[in-house]
Amino acid sequence: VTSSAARKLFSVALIMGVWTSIYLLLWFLHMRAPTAGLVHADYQPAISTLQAEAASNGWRKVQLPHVWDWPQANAKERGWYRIDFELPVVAPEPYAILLMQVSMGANLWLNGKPLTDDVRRTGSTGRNWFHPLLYEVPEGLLRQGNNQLTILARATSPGKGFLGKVYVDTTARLWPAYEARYFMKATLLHLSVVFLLAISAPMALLAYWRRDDDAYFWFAVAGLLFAGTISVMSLAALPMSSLVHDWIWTALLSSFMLVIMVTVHRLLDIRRSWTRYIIGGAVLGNLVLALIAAHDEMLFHVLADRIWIPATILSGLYPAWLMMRKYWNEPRSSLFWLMISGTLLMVTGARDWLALGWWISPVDGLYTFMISPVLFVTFFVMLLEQFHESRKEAESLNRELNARVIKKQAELERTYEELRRSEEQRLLADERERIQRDMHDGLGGTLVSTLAGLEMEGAKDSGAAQSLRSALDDLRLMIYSLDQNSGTLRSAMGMLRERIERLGEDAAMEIEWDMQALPTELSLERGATLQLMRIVQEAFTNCVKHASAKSFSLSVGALAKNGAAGVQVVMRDTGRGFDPDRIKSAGYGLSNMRVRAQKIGGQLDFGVAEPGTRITLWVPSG
Amino acid sequence: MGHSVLLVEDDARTRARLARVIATNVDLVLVADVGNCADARVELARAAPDVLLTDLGLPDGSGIDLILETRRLHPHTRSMVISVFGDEDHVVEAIRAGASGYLLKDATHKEVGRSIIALMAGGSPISPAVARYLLRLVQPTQVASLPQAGMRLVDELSARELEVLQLIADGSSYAEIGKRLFISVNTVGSHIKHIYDKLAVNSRGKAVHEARQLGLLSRKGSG
Repeated sequence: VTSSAARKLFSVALIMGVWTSIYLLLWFLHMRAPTAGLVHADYQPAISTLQAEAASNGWRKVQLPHVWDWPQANAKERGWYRIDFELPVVAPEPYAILLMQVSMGANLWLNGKPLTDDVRRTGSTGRNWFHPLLYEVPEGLLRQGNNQLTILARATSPGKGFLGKVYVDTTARLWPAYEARYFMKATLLHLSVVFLLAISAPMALLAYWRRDDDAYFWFAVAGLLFAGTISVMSLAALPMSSLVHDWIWTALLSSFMLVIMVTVHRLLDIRRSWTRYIIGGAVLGNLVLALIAAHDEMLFHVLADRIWIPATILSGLYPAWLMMRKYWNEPRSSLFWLMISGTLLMVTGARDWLALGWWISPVDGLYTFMISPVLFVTFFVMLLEQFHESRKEAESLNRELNARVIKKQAELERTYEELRRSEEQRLLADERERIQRDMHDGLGGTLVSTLAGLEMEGAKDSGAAQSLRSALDDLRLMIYSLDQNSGTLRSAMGMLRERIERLGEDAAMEIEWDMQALPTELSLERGATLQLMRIVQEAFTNCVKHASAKSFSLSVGALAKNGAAGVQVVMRDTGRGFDPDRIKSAGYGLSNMRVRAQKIGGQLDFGVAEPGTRITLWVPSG
Repeated sequence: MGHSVLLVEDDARTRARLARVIATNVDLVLVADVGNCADARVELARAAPDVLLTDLGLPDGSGIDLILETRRLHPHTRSMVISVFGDEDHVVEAIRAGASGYLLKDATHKEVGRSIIALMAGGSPISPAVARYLLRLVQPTQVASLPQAGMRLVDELSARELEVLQLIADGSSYAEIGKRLFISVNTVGSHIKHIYDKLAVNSRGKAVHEARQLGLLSRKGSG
């Protein structure tokens, strides 16, 4: 036996202990009596309410508490009791007669004089199931010595009723016991009704808020039905015949049991296809009972009391069993309490079923209605817990969902951006490929071929040849710039360096190339890179062409200017230096460089560096 | 005795100029200058030149085929591509076919001599553009279609070779690389030669297949 099974067994033992204690407590409370009661009485079924009838013969000796059960058409609702008792002394203070256990109302005669209604004025008219009744005795009516009390007790249903021990004593001595019993049998039930209405209302609200979880709705319905059941049973007279009264009570009780079943199903998330047949059957059963009541009151009572109500109460074993099984599989504290209250209710229900069927003494009335609030409190707490849980869950779900939506959106945007870029790159690659092919096959080849022709003709250094070379150089830069992968400025400068170093070697020039201050990942816009490369190339070409320089140095690095990030390129040659005349003769070379610099928002400065020229180019990189 | 060079270039004037550049270089001997693959094959069948200098887009075929055939026929012959622009696609394609470098078609007299002599001395010129291209292959995350091929290249290239490639891509000279990595310029050269060797594959079919896979070859052929 595993420890978890042991724990469960312990839990169950605990439950049994708890409800045995509660049951015993109830029993004990019912056993309380003020003094020794009168137990010897004469009894005869009542045909009418005439006091004269009580004088007729037909008495038989009974012991109180006495239960009668004569389902006879002529013994409708009452029973006559005649009690002779002896009072050794009559104290000079108010006396009273207390009926602790009585099935419904009662009319009393003391020494042949009728007593007025009981202290709460409900005994003779209301449907006070199992309430105690206290009758004040007018002064002088009690005699020292022999007295005779006649009681006409009303039945719960035709032919069925009872009378418990009768207490005759001073009002002061009887009052506490009367009040305690009244509290247990009436006030408690009234409080239960108020309580049920009070907790059903917030549940109805929750049901409104959480429409996807109808456990709240069914709880509210169960609460209302049970409140109705108790009210019909225990509240004072309603303006309707006792038959209608009984039918309503029966219908309410069976509806309540159904709803409890549905609520427990919902609560434990159980789906049963037969639920609808049970509900249909119950509705049909109540309607059939109503029809029967309309035609044969006696048959209605027999069917309702012996079959329908016991079956209804017994059906409560099913949800109790469900809760027990659930708890056995999943021992949670809320389930534990639900099981305790559920099973306790079922035990009291079973006891009441026996009492209503007169199989055990019904004199103490029904226990179920005293226990029921416990079950409702448990339900209430559990549903609140569930509501809280589901809110928490919903909130965390919401948060999670939000985060996921944001993430997905970012992902989508990224994917879209990637797609857009790759599409752009594909277009660019296609275009580049086309241009490249055209340049190779056409323009480039032609330029190279023409250049070769010029060289072959000895016009290697002619203006035309030089222009052709510039054109070729520029084409190379353009093709590089079209390259989808021409990324960082560093790689662009690297490419340029290779070319310039080859040319410098031809011209016997020393090339210095310093890129240390250039961040590896820095890159400019594609167009800006191209213009920058063109300017550097042009500066170098000019240097080779006009300056007869022996060296060319270039340093490039990141440099912020006036708060703007940028790149600075400083080119120096050791040639003949800056000469405005030569610049003019060089044609548009220098102005061309300026225009290019301006195009990309850069600055170009020419300066004299002894010996030679110094060109400073700054380009924004932001 | 100079290095023998077989020149294959379809444009007559360019061919004539390059032929003269080679012929007038004392370190070089021009075996023949031809304008198409067929003639080149005749020359290759006759004797093994030290250097095959070939254009890629030839009227009757591709210079790539010539390079592959030469590798098979004459394993000791080094091949070089002549290109108008020296742009990545064409050069890398040629290198994958087994070429050891490239020359620009308008290269000066001196440059031609220098490049061929450096090649024969064991050097393998590599441009920043090519280095960049190779680096991109070993960084597969950037090009979604290349992961497997890129991974294979990563396996093949050593960490040191990758470092060298990176520095070349940044435009560093051999001397600077040597200084930076505390190795001699010659060692830099041999690293680059290894990179070339690892990149080259043995058959034309395989080369084309792999190049396509790697995204090196344009689908529309080469010019």
